[in-house]
Amino acid sequence: QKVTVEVLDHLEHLALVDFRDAEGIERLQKAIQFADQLHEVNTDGVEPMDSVLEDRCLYLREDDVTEGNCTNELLKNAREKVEEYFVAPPGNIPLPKLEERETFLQGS
Amino acid sequence: QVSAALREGRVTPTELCQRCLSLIKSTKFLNAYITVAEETALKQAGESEKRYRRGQPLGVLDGIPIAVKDNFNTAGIETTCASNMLKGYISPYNATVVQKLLDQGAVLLGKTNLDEFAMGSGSTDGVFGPVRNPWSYSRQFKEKSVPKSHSEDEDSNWVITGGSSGGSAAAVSSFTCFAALGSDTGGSTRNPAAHCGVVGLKPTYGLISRHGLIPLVNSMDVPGILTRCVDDAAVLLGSLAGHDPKDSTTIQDNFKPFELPDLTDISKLSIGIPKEYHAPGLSSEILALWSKASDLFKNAGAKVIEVSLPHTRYSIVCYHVLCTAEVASNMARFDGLEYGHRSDTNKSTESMYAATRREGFNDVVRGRILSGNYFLLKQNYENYFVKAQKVRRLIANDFVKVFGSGVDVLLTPTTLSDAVPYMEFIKEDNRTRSAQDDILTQAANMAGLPAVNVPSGLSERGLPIGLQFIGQSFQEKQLLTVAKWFEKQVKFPMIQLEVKRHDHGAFQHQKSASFS
Repeated sequence: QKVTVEVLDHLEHLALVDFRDAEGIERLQKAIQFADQLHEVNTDGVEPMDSVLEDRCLYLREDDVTEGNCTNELLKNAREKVEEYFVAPPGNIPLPKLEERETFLQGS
Repeated sequence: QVSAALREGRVTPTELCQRCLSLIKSTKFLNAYITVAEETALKQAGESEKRYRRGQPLGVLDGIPIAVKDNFNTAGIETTCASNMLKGYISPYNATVVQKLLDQGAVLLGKTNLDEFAMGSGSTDGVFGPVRNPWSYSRQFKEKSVPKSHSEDEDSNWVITGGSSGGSAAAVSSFTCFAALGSDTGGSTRNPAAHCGVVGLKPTYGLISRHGLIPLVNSMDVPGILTRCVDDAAVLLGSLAGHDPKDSTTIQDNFKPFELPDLTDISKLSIGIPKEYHAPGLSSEILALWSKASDLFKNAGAKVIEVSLPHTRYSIVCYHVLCTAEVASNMARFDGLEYGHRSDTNKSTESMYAATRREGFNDVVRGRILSGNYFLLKQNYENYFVKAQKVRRLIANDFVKVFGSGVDVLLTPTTLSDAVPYMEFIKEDNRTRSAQDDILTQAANMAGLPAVNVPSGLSERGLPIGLQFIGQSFQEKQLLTVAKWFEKQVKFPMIQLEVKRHDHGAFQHQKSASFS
C-alpha cells in the first residue's frame, strides 16, 4: 500500500519538515515496509515497555528554586529578541494548504 | 601511565596539552574535530600545572587531555551536533558529564565530529564532512593494500570510522587525546570503537547522567566512553557515574568507583555465546575471531555455553520505529526561536518553523522525523509504536532469561566486518547502513544493558576488529573485569600511524598509550 498524498501532506504539516523530493517519499515507503516486519512477532499478552527502569520508582524532590536568573545567557543564542522576549512571527496562521504552498507534493 | 608521569613531574600538563594540540593539527585530514578549544585548553592545562606543583592534583584525571563529542553541551564552546541547525550555537552550560570531567581537572581539547544529530553508523553524514579512520594511514593497513598506480590519488581508499561517535574514536585512536566522550543509542560508541581499535564502553542506562547530552532517543541514549584500554574506561566511569538531580532517569543508588582486579580464577565465570549473533553477513574473519575468543575462555577454565536470544533479529526493526518516534518528538524543539538557525521567513510562526527546519536539517534527520510522525499517527499508533514497545519487552526479557540461567557475561562480535572504504560506504543510504551495522549492538540499548567493545585483532586488510561483551544491569565492574582479562590475553597491536608533521617531516608516532 502506498502512502496517499493526503497523509504525506498531513505529515508535512505535523512535522513542519518537508519531503523535498521523490527520494524523500521513497524513504518513507521503505521505512514503513521495514517496520512492517514487526507484525511477524506474536505479542499477545505482552505489555508495552516504556522504560528499562520501570521497576524503580520515579522520585520527587522538594519544590525549592535552586537555579535561574540566567536570562541574559539564554537570550544570547536567540536571533530575534526584544528586551527579555523572544520574538516570533504571528501565530494562529496555519501552514498554507497543499495547493498554495511550495512543496514537492504539489506535483503528486 | 601518563597520570603517573604527571604526578612525578616527568611531563607537565602544559607540555602534554601542547603535544596533543600539535598532533591535532598534524592529523587535521582525519577531520575528527569540529572545534578545537586551544585557548581554554591551555588555560586549563596551566591551572592543572599549578596544582601539580603544589602537590595537590584533583585526581587521576587532572591535566589529562580529553575530547567530547559535539552533541554534548559545553559552556562557551560551540556545540553543533554537526548540523546547520546548531551552527554558531554557543552552549550556556556544561553537560553534567563535561562538568564532572572539568571538576576533576581534565583538559578539554575540543569537540569531535559525528553524524548529524548522532544519526548514522559511519560518521559520514555531518555538515562538516566525514571522519577518516586513522587506521587508513597506518603501516598495518598500507602494507596490506594493493599498491595503486602512481596517478591515482593515494588518498581515495581511506576507510570510515563507523559511527556515530566517529570523531571521538578517531581522536582516541590517533593519540590526540587520552579519552573521549561519545554517545550510544544503537551502538554509536561501540561501532566506531571496533573500527578504530579502541575500547568503547556503553554504560547501563540510568548510570550516567544525560543532562546536557542533546537527546536522540530518551529511553535509550547514554553517554559513551572511549579509551585506549579497559582500565582507563573504568577510571572515566568512576568519575562520571552516579545520580544527577538534573537527570531524573539516573538511578539514586550510591555508586562506588572501582579499580579492576586482575582475574586469576576464570573457572567461576560463565560466558554465553548467543547464537543469533551469528548474523547473516558476518564476515568469516570475525566469526573465526569470535570462535577463537570463546576457545580462549574455555581453555582458561570458564564455562562457555551457547545461549539463545530469539528476538534478536527484530531488535533493529523495533529500534527503527521507537527511534524515529522519539526523534520526531525530540527534534520538535528546533524551531529557530530560542537558539540555533532561524529562517528569514516571517509570515507566520508555522511557516518560519517549517522554513527553519527545512534549511537546518539534512535528509537523514528529516527522514527520521517524518517516519516517526507516521508511526505516531492515530491510525498507526497501536500497530507500530505500541507494537514496537511490546517487542522491546520481549527483547529485554530474552536477556533476563539468559542471565537468570547463570550466565555472567555474553560474548558477541561488535560489527559485521572491518571498516569499509568511504567510497563503498556511501553507495547505500543512511537508513540501510544503520540497519545493517547496528544489528549486533542495538539490542543492548533496547534492554538498557552495559556493553563494551574490546579491540581483539586485525583483519586481513590490517584493520581493527573488536569483540563485544554484554553484561548485566549495573554490573559494570564484572563486565569490565572480564573485558580487562580478555584484553590482556589478546595483546592488540598499537597503531603505527604514519603522519607527516606540518613541518614537512614524515615520522612514525608511538606514545604512551594509557593514562592509568
